[in-house]
Order: sequence, then C-alpha cells, then structure tokens
Amino acid sequence: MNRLVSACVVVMLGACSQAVVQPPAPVKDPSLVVTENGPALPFDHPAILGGGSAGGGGAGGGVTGGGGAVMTGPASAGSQRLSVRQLAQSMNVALGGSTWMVGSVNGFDARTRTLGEPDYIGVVDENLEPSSLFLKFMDDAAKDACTRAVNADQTKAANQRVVYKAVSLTDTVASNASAVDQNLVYLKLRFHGIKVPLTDDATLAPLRKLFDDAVKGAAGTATPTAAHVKEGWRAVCVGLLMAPEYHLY
Amino acid sequence: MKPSLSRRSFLEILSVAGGGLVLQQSPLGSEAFALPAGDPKYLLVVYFSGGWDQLLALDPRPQNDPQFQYVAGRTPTSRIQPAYDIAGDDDTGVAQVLTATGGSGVQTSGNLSFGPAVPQSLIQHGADLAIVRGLQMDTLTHEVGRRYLITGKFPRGLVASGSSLNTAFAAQTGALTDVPNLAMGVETYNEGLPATASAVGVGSYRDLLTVMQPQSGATLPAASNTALSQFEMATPDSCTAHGFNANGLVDAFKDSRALGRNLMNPSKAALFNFALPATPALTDLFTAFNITTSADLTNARGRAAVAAQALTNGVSQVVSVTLGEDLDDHFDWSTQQPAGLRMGFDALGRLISYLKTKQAPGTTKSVWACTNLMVFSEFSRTPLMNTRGGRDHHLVSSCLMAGPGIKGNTVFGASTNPGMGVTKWNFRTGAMDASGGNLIRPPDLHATLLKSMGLTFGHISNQSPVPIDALIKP
Repeated sequence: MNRLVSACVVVMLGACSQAVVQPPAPVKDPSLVVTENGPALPFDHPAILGGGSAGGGGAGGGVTGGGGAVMTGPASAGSQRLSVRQLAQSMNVALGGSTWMVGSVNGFDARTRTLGEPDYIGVVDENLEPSSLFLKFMDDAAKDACTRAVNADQTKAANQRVVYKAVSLTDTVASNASAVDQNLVYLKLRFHGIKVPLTDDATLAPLRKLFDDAVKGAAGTATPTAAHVKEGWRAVCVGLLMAPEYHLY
Repeated sequence: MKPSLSRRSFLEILSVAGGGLVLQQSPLGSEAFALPAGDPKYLLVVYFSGGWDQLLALDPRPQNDPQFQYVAGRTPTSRIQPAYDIAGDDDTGVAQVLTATGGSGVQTSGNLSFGPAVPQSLIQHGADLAIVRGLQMDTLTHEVGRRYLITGKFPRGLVASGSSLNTAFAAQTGALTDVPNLAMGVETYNEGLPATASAVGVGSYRDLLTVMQPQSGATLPAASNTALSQFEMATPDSCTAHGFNANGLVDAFKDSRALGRNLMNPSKAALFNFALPATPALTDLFTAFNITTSADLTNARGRAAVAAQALTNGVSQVVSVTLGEDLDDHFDWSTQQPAGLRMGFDALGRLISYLKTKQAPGTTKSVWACTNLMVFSEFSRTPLMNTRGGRDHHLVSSCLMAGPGIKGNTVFGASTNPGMGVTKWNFRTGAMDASGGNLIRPPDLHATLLKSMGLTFGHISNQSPVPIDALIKP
C-alpha cells in the first residue's frame, strides 16, 4: 500500500511539473509483427539479470538492481520448467490440434502423476524437476505427437499445415534449400517463439542438418520421396519439442 | 490401514517420488559425481510401511520372563508385553517359534536376537547384519517419521526436508548405470543435488518395463535418432544465452534428457518382463524368490526380485524398495503384523541370499559384499497392547544395517526396561553413557552408513549428525 501511495505521489508530482501532459510515445518494438493469422508474439525474453532484486523505476527509465547497479533491461523471475498443464495446452496449440496420446487417452492425463502433477491428496505441489523420468516420457510425447501432426498435415491444404507449411514434400536441402530454411524459421517461431532471420546460419544450420540427415537416413541410397521428407520434418519437430527452449521459461 | 501397493496402478505411484528440486550448487561440493575408487558400491534401502512392531522383529523380549507377563490382571512390571502367545494363536509361524524356543519367542544368531516374526531366511545372514536399537524418532506421524528416515532431516511439517539417502548416494557415486537410482514404492526426494541423481520411481516390474521401453508407436528410425542426438549435442541453446541457466536448470534439463533416453534399453527391459510360467532366463530368479503365482509377481518377493535383477545386472546402483506393507495395526495386530513382517523379512533374506550368488563386475566379490543396507520403518508400535487387540504408535524404534564398512553380528543401543524408552550411548565405544552419550537419531544412521562407504554427509549437516563409529569397521 505504501508503495502504491508513493507511486501515486510521484505520478502526481510529475503531472504537476508539466504544463501539458503528452501522451507517451508509442513503444517501437521491432520484433512485433502482425501476420495473416494475427500478431506473432515474439519470445524475445529479456535477459535474467543478476545482482540482486530489482528496485523501482529510476528517473532514466532504467531499473536499479538491489546491489545498486543500473540494469539495462527489466528484471525477470527465475527460470523454471513448464507445468504439465502448460505443456498439455501448448503442445496442442503448437501442433495444430495434434497431441500426445497413450492409447485412446491424452498422454498428459494418462501419465499425470508420473509427470509430477499433484493429486491434492497425498501430493499438493507440482514437481517441476526436469528429471530423467519426466524427459523420458516427454520423448515419448514428442515422438508420438509429431507423428500425429505430420500425418495430419498430409490431409491439409498447404496454408493450413502445421509442420511443413512453407515447403512441399518434394523439397529437400539439395533441391530447394531456401524453402527448407523458410520452414525452419517458421517452425522455430511456432515452437519456441523465437524469430530467426534467414541469415542466422548459427541457428538454422543445426536444424537444417537434422532435417537433411533424417531424410538421407530414411532414403538411404535412393532418391528421397515424400515419405522420406516427411521423416525429416518429423525429426525436426521432435528436436524442437525436446529442446530446452520449449520446456523452460 | 493403507492400501497395499499391489492395489495401486503403476503410473499412479511412479512419481510419488519427486519432492521439490532446488537446483543450485551441490552441497556435496566437488565430490558430487566423483566416482570413488575401489570396489563398486551398491545401496539397498528397505522400507516397512505403517510402523513395525519391534517386539516381533528386531528388539524382542522373552515372553516367558515374568516381568513381561500379566500377573493377576496387572500390567507387566516392565510395561512391556511381547504377547507372543496372543500372536501365536492366530499365526502359525509365531507359534512354531514359540515352541522351538521353549516359550521365549526370542531367536538368536551370534550376538543378535530376533523376534518370532523374523524368518530363518534372514536370520541366517546375522553375521553380516547390525541392529541399532533405541532409535529416537521424535514423531508419531507416519509421513513425518517416514520422511525423517528417508532424508535424515526432520521434515518441515509434513513436507520432506532435504534429499533422500538414495539420492545423496547416487549424486556422490555418479550415474553409471541405466537406471542409477531406482525407487519401488518408496518416496524419494532431491533437494539441491543434480537432477541425474533423482530416483526413477516405480511400483512394480510393469512400471519398469514401461520406463525402459519407448512407447509403442512412438519411435523414430535409427538414422533419425542418431541425427537427433547429434543435433542435441551440437546445438547451443538460446536459453543459456538468456540467463536461464543461472540456477543450473538448463544443464539439468540437458543431462536428464540424455539420461531419459538412456533409460530406454529394451534388451535390459527384458530382465523385468516377469510372467508365469517363468522363461528359462528367469527360472533361477523365480525359484530364489519363490515366485509361483501371479500375485507373487507384485508382492514383496516380486519387488525384491526386481531389486535383485536391477542390482545384479548393472541396471541400478541404488534401489529403495518397500518390502513390508500394511503394518499400521491398531486393532488387527495378531493376524496382520506377524505375517506382514515375516513376508518382508523373508523377501529381504532371499534378496541377500541371491546377491551373495552373483559376482560384482570387475571384482571377485559378490554383489552382496559390495552392498550397503538400511532397513527401517517410520516408528514402532507400543510395548503394551491396546484394548482393541492392537498396538498404537511408539516413538522408539530399531533399524537394520549392513555393508562392507559396517560391523556385522553387532547390536548397538537398546530400548529400556521398563517401557522401551531411549537412553544415551557412547558412539565410539558402543557402551551406554547416560550422562555424556548421545541419543540415537535418524541422521546419525545416515551419517554412519555414508561414512562407512567413504562418502560425505554434508547435506544433513544442519541436523548435527554423529556417525556411530562403534558400528564402522576400522
């Protein structure tokens, strides 16, 4: 309450000191892009800064750290793993309606206790430890859900596809590298919320290699077919779902 | 009374384990993940659920001594009532021991004595075993006592504090096997230790099969799996660049991702594909654990068989397992308690026997010769019967220990006459020392076992643990 009162006083003093109150200038956020499907909200997470807890907003608009050092960006909470419910909901969205299934049951429901969700009887706190058991079942989840998503794409129009949206199933690194890269950029944004320019080879090259290796591995010595290319996108899908960028925030 | 494990479905119990993980600098310091030199080290933690009766088990009294008998309707002068005769009316095993011991009910093996619910299958290993008596539990609440002995730290309310003994052991010895830390029906906690030391919690062999095999239909071609592994190893993640790894979370995630894939080992999963009739590969195991019915596959003997397979086939370095169940006998003591104890101790005795027959890799010793053991329950039961033919919760308990560094055929401590209370003991000499000694507490047991293995116990330092040197081989 004291902070609220102080903040109000500061605002009132500021208002009194200016003859005309100007509306705040629009914040130019270069990473916010509106697409045909609505705003593409970027990941662009601010750096988690050390040096103590954040202080109040300074006169210069910066943030003062608890240690007295001036930070250059907003402070952030500590990192943690997505909860099981967050994962269940986000995977469904990221994969355009496909999700992890164990038999006929949603995998996140079938394995709820295994994954550390509380039952509010014996366990009241969700276990957010990224344990080996949790990651084993996430591996199952990624492989199952990506298989479903890639299969579902086959029945969709190109602009409705989820996994291979910017390419056709005849495009490989050898035949159409630019289309492959564009799809990787799209997937990186869709799965991780990270906007990657086509020129960012440090990010795209490992994904491109993953796709290419999986296609070549599936095709062997033969010319890659649609089934082989699909295998490549499935591997990329699993790689992105099993990345820390997907699970941690 | 709590439902038995066999009634629980797998994945409902799998992660009862867990507890909160606070990722931070390991309190074990630089010794975490350092592989100690010498023979392989195994740890077996055995839990008896519900609060065990020590008069029937590890701290008996002779039934035929007048101080332990009701005389003319008066409470025994010792305020201790073994009541073996009452138990013997309902339990043929206890009756047989009473006959064999001339009515005392106390069985002996060297320096050790056992109550009438302990079978010969365990007593025969007395030369390797140490009994700690007069253990002060400081609680009569199931969850608190259980978690106190699991972690060696007194819980915060009902919430466990610190890491389990099995997790501390795995953190210090390193993740060397497929499922380094296996917990079957026992809670397990990791607070501040590497995520790779956390236990994989299962309820039975079926759960382990599920964990060690990929989900049906959720597999990639081998080439894709290889490409995926290379991708994960070679690709720098942007989380670290954004400072997400300040508390070690990203590293823990990556370590666990690799370990999670290592969990899947279909060839070793076959070791746990229990079914009747036994396959040729499982015949010896099933014979050793007397597994003859489908119910045996998931009872105490079945779980002991899983532990045996895990320890002797390089699947696990540490196994914690519930072998005694449904022991919270406030009113059905004579029919339930002796049978429950005997079932658990028999499974333990068979497990020790089996481990003695298998050679530890890289040594000429048996797996048992490299195994450290702690057997416990959350507390004991009252020395006097209640009016409902049962026994209630009692503060003073006992514990069974063994290991390459633990003196076998040894008893440390004692509960008092009258009333099975506690006294202080000299932890160096092993003698009673009511004025200058210490009470025996769970953190002391953890410190003793870890010290005997050459491991540290800094993670429980705020409990002021005192190793019982009288139990540790020089």
